[in-house]
Amino acid sequence: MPYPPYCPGALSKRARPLGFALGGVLAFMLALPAMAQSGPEPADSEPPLYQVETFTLDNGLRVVLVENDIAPVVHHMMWYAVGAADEPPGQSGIAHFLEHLMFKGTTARPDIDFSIEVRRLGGRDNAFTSWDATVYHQTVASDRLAEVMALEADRMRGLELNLDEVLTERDVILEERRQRIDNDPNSALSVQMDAALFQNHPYGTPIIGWAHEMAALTLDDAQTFYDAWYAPNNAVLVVVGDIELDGLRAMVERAYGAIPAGETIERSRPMEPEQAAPRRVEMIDDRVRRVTWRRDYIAPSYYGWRMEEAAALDVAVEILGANTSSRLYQDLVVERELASNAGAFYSTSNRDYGQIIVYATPSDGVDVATLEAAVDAVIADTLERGFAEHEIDNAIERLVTAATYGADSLTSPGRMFGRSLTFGLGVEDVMTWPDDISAVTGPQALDALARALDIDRSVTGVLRPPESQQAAEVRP
Amino acid sequence: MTRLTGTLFVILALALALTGAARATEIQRVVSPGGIEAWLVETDAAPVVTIAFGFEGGAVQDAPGRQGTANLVAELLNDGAGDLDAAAFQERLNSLAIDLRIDARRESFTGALRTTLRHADEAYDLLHLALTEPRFDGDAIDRARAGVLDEIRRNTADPDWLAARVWADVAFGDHPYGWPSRGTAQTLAAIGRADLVEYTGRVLARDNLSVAVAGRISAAQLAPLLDRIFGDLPATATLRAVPPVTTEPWRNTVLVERQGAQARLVVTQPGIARDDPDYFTALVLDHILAGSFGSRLFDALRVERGLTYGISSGFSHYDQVDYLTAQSDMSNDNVAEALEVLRREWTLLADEGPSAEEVADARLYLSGAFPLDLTSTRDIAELVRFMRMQDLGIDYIDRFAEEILAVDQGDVRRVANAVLRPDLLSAVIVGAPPSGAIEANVNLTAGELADRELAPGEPSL
Repeated sequence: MPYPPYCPGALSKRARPLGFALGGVLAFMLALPAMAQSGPEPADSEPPLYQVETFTLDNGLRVVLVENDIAPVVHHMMWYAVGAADEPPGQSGIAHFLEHLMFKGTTARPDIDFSIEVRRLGGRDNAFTSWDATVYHQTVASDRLAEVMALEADRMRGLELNLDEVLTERDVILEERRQRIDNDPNSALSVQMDAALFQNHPYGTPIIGWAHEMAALTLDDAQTFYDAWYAPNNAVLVVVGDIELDGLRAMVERAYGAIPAGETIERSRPMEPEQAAPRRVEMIDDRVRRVTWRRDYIAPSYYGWRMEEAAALDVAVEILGANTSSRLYQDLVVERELASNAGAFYSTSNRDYGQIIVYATPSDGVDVATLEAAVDAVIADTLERGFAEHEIDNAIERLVTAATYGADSLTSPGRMFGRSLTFGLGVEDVMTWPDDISAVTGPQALDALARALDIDRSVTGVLRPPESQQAAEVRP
Repeated sequence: MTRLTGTLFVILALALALTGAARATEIQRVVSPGGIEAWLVETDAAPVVTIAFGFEGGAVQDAPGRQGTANLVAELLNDGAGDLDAAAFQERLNSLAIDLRIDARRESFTGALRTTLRHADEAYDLLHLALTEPRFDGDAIDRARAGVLDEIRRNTADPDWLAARVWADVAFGDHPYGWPSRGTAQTLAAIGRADLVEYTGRVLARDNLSVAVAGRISAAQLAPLLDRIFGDLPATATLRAVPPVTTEPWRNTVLVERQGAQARLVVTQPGIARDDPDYFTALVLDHILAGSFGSRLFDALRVERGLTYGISSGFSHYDQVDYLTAQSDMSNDNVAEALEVLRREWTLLADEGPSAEEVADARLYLSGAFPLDLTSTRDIAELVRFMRMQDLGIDYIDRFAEEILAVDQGDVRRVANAVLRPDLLSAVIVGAPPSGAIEANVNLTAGELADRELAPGEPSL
């Protein structure tokens, strides 16, 4: 089965291995739509997939509840609308650094280690920083939620930074960088590719930061960032699991209600100019034994640039490269045997821009130029021939059906709703996504793909071993 | 609406106060007309069903010289079956979003089918075909072989994998437990279609099968499905006996030289069997040792000295042997100090045992965290399959918290003293610590290890 290359879009703290009425309560039901075109089985009146309720506190904190009673467990996620792309120039890594520091002492609980407290409640916790959000999450038995909320609420405005902890934790994030990037050639390549792909926008800066800037981050930097961004009106709380609305509302009001709102925050980032030429990054590393090839294109985002094209692009990339039935896999791997693995996927986890990532691993004896020409030929052929109706039907069926699995999880709806609301969309946008996908036509998909696969808005990356270590041809 | 509840609540006074009321997990034994048994957990949260299945056997059933056979079978079972060639079979799975995963592990061959109710009928048929009529077409085999070789190449760049490979050599030598489940370039080249057919017929059999199901399906619906999916498998498996493990791999320090910013450190000592009466006490001990924040090794290495981003530990179990392992990544400069600190903490815990507070915290976490894993049909089905295959008993989920909460400080002190053996610890380091910093009795380079895995030529296995 093809697997996509490592693409660090978010950093988690721990190593171990998707419109609101203020003060009101609205209940939504997600219904799977009838198929727009004739599919294999028409959807009759299907029961709703999610039971979602929302409300907003007076201090601006937006709350989403997705009920799921598969186990007496809840997943509690606090999404702050701030990420690595909001960092002041010269302070790369401060958003992620602050994420680490958020687990330390507060005014009310000076000696707390947040994770130890959650463990005492029989819970698990973690956090992650992306370019556009910083998210703190816990999974815990339902009857422990109030206690976890109290802890999360305490650190929203109550963090007390301590110099010793700041300095120790700064060493920890530098270690983390070494582990994630310096020690992993694929990650090192990704960092270089992002920097080349984005010529102006902060998506070109690694979330963990540049090492020389990380080493110089100060307590004041962290304090300033925290004071500016961490406020209830800049946050979305998503709770998924075995709890009912009335109980949750009382709990949320008790934990978060007294926190004062902060200043209204407008996020704005320098956007990309018209890009005029494709870029290439090539890295040679004696720790790898195979050549890998990848190309990233800047693409529309569901939440930002050309958002009206995102659904059509999802369908198009699904056909182009999402699985073993795709154009890329069938052509490069099955028919022409030029690659042991090939595909494409559409990354939509960032706010301002998406990316299309096309990847392939050449078979023994196939050089990069041949592989690249073959990929370009598949793309050109796809854009020329377009999509057959059954291909569109299958892609839509797959995307819409796969969305069902989101309900077989506590974390999936947490991420979907958390991201959507944090990036400026609403609950209803998540719920109408299957409708949007079902309405995509062949010409729309083709048009979106043609506009997105602009070579001038791309970077191509190759990672290879030194000449002396190239794999010899192995005969079965 | 069927909920994941039983009519009994597991109530212990202590548990109620500390972890809240836990629901009993209702597991039904479902037996098909043909005599196939499944353990079923009915859930209602999503319109999906997961069927998890497993066969005893796994990679240890590969033939010597043909390591990687079980893994290739796992890759190929959904690459063409019955009248559907690879492309057609994959298209059915993909277009209906049917999630079929099959894996060859060391001592078992497992899989899970997850499907929406909408396409369940077709999903069951496809699983039946995959298990009973795999095609093993030549072009599919070639593709799978190339894919696995690619995976081995990728692995040789991964310090975690290198550490595990070299430990397997030290701990097991030529014993099947030490065989790489993916094989090597040489063994892969030796595997032919006949080997795949032979393995499948010998291992995938009804008397060797465990099935666990979770999702929106009733016992009455499931019973006939079991025959439909699994009924055509051969009746009996023929498993080769795995010889006893005779190596004593203790007190070794192995250095695999690999350039890079960080080193991987893995330490191992003898462990404890799952059916040992002290097993749950040992879990509490392990959590205190390196479970997470607040544990001995985490505090000593990360919090106090900033030597590493993280350290974790855990027990691993084979049918014949058990291990306790701790692992961490750190700068090359920190390895020597980290190893010294680790040995000191290990010894301290062995000699003096934990504090009452540490035991209380560990009990709270372990008992409370267990149900956190049961939030999807896949998680539930795979856990229940695991319970069946390891003979943990149908009441394991409900019993777990009770057992953990019954552990006291005296128990942990006793078990720490008996089980923790800092004198036996073996260490594997993959990295480039400063010359002279580590005294290793086994030395090789990552390049040499990679060459061995990837070289066509005389088999070393």
